[in-house]
Amino acid sequence: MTEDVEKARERSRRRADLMRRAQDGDAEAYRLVLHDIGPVITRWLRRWVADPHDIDDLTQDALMTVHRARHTYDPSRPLEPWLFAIARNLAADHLRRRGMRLARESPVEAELATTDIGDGDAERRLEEVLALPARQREAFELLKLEGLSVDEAAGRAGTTVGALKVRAHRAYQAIKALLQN
Amino acid sequence: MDGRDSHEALIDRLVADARPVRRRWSPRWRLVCWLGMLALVIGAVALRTAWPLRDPASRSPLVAIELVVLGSAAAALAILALRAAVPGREPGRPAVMVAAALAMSSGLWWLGIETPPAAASLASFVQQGVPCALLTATYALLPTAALLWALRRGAPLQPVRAGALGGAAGFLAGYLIMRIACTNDDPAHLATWHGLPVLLGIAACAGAGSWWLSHWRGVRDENALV
Repeated sequence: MTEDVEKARERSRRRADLMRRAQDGDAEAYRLVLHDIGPVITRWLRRWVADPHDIDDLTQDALMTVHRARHTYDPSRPLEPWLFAIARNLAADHLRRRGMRLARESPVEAELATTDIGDGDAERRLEEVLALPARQREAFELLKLEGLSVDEAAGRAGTTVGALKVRAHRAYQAIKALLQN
Repeated sequence: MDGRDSHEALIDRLVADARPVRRRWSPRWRLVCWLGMLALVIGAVALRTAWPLRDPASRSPLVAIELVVLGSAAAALAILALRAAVPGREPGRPAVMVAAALAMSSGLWWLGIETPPAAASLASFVQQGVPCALLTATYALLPTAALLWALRRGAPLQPVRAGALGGAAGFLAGYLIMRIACTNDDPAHLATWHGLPVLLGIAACAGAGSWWLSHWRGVRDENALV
């Protein structure tokens, strides 16, 4: 786990350095960082948007927004909060245009509609977990399902470590209450 | 063209379009510049109006406290506005509520300030008040324009909110300057002719923000150095 954390931190530092060089006009660094962040954005967008065509479009919108806003990135800070703020904003706009709230969308719900887990009780409990407030669900997914460290999860969620811990604690308490019931 | 091809084509286009950019100063340093500009304006107004020598009431410690609270609230709102122009650093609702509460708390000091008798009639209330309202808006122009310009050079993801925060900081600064320039401490006068322009200014800046602060989304590479 420690090695994974170190690798993730090293990846984050590398991205920040590539972006700094891109800001200074290094075309090759810019190409590398765009190639690197594209799949990261796509994976993040899959949490909120089910349609793969929409995900592709939003990923491209995010890359264009990164291009236009790159002058605002501070290289002394991690790239991820800056990047995910852009992705989050685009996803929210997309869902708002489609008349849906970000909190109610999840690609896993689309899978649940077509997949029979075979255990009605487990399926209902999973739906209850998915019904958690979006921020608590995100904290739970990042820490427990994706296995990220608290630092990484906070960066991905675009928040502070303390705030992420609070959200995770509330998610755990809610899930604990669900299981006990 | 499938998803991967269009993705690659986009990256090729972005790389070909990219040139070195001028990084924006951090919100903290931009705040320092804005506060410096504001201090110069306040100093000029204070000298011109011979404040606080001309008016004994303005020498009250309560007035000084009110001015400090107003200045702190304007600075807080300004830093929140500047952060709103940087993706990932947008202020949360609690921070905005605290800054707004600080701004509104400046009015509590009125309760302890000795106020002159209220205006004799509605006509004189309006006659005394309209010039104050216009001056409040005038004094707010420079701080607000400076902030909105700084926001426009950033990348506000929520332009309406960014515009509102910039307007709040700029117009609160105008209100602060008018507390120095205007000798009328009547709470009704202050709320109507000094406070109302602030609220209208915030609304106007929020509206302006929706189009004026969104321009960066459609600009090809305005921030390139060459």
